[in-house]
Amino acid sequence: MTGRWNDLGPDDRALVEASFVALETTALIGTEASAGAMPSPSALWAHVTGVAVTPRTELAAALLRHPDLRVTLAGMLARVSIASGPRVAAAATGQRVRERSGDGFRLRLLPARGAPDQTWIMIALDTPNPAPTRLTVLPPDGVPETASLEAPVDGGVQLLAETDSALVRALSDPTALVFLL
Amino acid sequence: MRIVRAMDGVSAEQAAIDGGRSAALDQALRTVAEADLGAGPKYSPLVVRDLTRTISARAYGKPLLELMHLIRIAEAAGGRHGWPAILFAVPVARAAAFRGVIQKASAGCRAFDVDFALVEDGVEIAYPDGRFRVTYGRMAFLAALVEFAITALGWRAVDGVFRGWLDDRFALRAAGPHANTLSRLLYDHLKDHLPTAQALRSYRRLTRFLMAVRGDGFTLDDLDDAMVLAFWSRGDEEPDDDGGDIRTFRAAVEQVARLRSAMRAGLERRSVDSAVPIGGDRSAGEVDPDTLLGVLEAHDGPGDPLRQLASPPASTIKFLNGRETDALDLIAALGAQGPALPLSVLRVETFGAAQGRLTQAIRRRADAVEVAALVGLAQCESYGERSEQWDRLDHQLHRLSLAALAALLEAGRAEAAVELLAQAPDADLSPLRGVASGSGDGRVVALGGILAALADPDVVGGRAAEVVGQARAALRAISRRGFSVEDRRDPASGDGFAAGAPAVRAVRDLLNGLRRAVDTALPLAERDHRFEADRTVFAARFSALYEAVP
Repeated sequence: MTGRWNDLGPDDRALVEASFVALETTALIGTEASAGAMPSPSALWAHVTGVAVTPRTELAAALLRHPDLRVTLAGMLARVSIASGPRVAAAATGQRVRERSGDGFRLRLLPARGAPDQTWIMIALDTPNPAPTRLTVLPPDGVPETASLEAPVDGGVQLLAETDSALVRALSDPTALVFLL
Repeated sequence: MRIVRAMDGVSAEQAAIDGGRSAALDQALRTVAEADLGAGPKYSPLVVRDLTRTISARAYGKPLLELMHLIRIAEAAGGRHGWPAILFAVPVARAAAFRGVIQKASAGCRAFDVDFALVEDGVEIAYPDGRFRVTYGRMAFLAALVEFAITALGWRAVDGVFRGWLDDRFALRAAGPHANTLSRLLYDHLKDHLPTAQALRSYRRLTRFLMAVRGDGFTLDDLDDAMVLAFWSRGDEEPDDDGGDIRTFRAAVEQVARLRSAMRAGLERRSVDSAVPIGGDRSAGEVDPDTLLGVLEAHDGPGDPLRQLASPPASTIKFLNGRETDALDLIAALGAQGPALPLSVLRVETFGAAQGRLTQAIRRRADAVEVAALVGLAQCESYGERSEQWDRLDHQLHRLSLAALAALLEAGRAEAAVELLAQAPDADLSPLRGVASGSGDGRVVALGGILAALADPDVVGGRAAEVVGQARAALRAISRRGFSVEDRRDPASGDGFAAGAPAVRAVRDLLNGLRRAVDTALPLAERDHRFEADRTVFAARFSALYEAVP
């Protein structure tokens, strides 16, 4: 290939420059070790759908390092959920809540009679079909909390949990998001 | 189509001031590269490289249009969960995996009898105003593009665009505006994250140097070994504070190789009488991204054989060990530019390797005596020793090629004939026609008869039969993963050898092209003398760079 630099016209030189920049850029990007592992969207999806659960500590660390992942996680949970509940109106006051509702359900937290260290989680479903099999709560910080659900009886599902468990604490946090999957 | 703004405008100047690398972009690409759903890397190195090229050249306009149609398909096949259930559910993103998941999902989807049709190589959408086909082979790249986009832009932005498209009318023409919306989001994001300013500084540094030493009439031939060494050895460069490690000799060689590729693209364009415009608006300094992608693929393509060996199905067989891969990395990366810069490659493999050890010693705060010894290059591999290593590497690649041929013959794979001709190009395989016509009616019987005849000197002649004998001996002698009798019983083994054998040959061709160029540029008799002369140059430069006296 012959040809001199000063024979090249403005378009030719622009192409040379843009080509070099693209080649150099390709070499520059994606080669540095990242500061911390970031779950891929497909890994988060596998976690949300229960196909391949990301270890709790790993997920917690990733959410801490990359706060935007929480939005992705919430979006994916909304996508796979049968019903979901938003932040409650009391969120601005910061008060704990004992009741919350969402699109297709109502959820109440009731102290277990005679066992103050335990709380009933009572879920009333607007339509029992399809029946949810999991309850997931996504708090504003920390990892999502999940519990398996029994088949609904008369449109309702109940489960007993420790009052100071992460699940109950998350459910009583007005800023948390609730999903029935 | 989005247009890349060439770096000669005002915005480029500003970019040069603001520039630098983006950890966010690196991380987004690494997130895709490291995606692992428990079955190994989800995306092959080839897919990741394609994604990197596409992002660098900002050539995602057409892929995003394809993506919109894939989203239609995946949303239809994905059931209640929609498109992520298809794109994210595949543990290893390969054509066969997408084919499997879509075929299974489509069985229970009414739309697949009406708007979508499974065709041989993918899915075709029958819009009222036209058809669009997405092949299974393309889906891995498009899925990787979705993962990149979500990581870079966030779920809400990307899913929002997809939702808008899915809620829009079912029409071929309707896809464009939604693809453009996502393209604009990516463009705006990359504007702040692509290290174009740093790349531009390197470009200006190189062209300024060339004009200073060779004048503005320099040619491609001026970008030679002497220029590389002079460029790297210059002591008056501006401080390199942008993260680019131009202090390493390898980085200088690679930059000059890139400039060679870029200049070749410009010269080729000039040589075409009716050169098409390079962009929509030249006054705004625009260059067509697809043109840039073509340059990237031409420059980077020779490196693909190593990536193929690292990707399924070839990666199930250990063709190369880590040391061999390292020894071939630069040669494959430079491709056609390697033989144009033969002494530079030799210098990288010897003095460049020594520089790597030196920088590591400095990082771990080695004592002054050790650093001074490394600067003085006392233990540096010589040119003669590196040439001998290349000889051994060539021998090993030959053995691996032969062994792969034997494995393909044993597996009854038709690719064996291609490999045999590659190993014995003068062999006359025309008598096989007689074997084929006399082997029976069934294709399998005919192929089996042909493959058996490949080792028969009475049919294919002594040379081909001799090669087959050598191949079988090589296969018995190699003890790496995938080559053992037990490993070869794996039904997937044949696919691994079929994919790996041509890649090993391609790498060997690159190595031998480089060896020939080195032999021409530096005859054996001159090697020791040149090595000693170069050692003085490199030791002096290391001393200046690292402020240590040998």
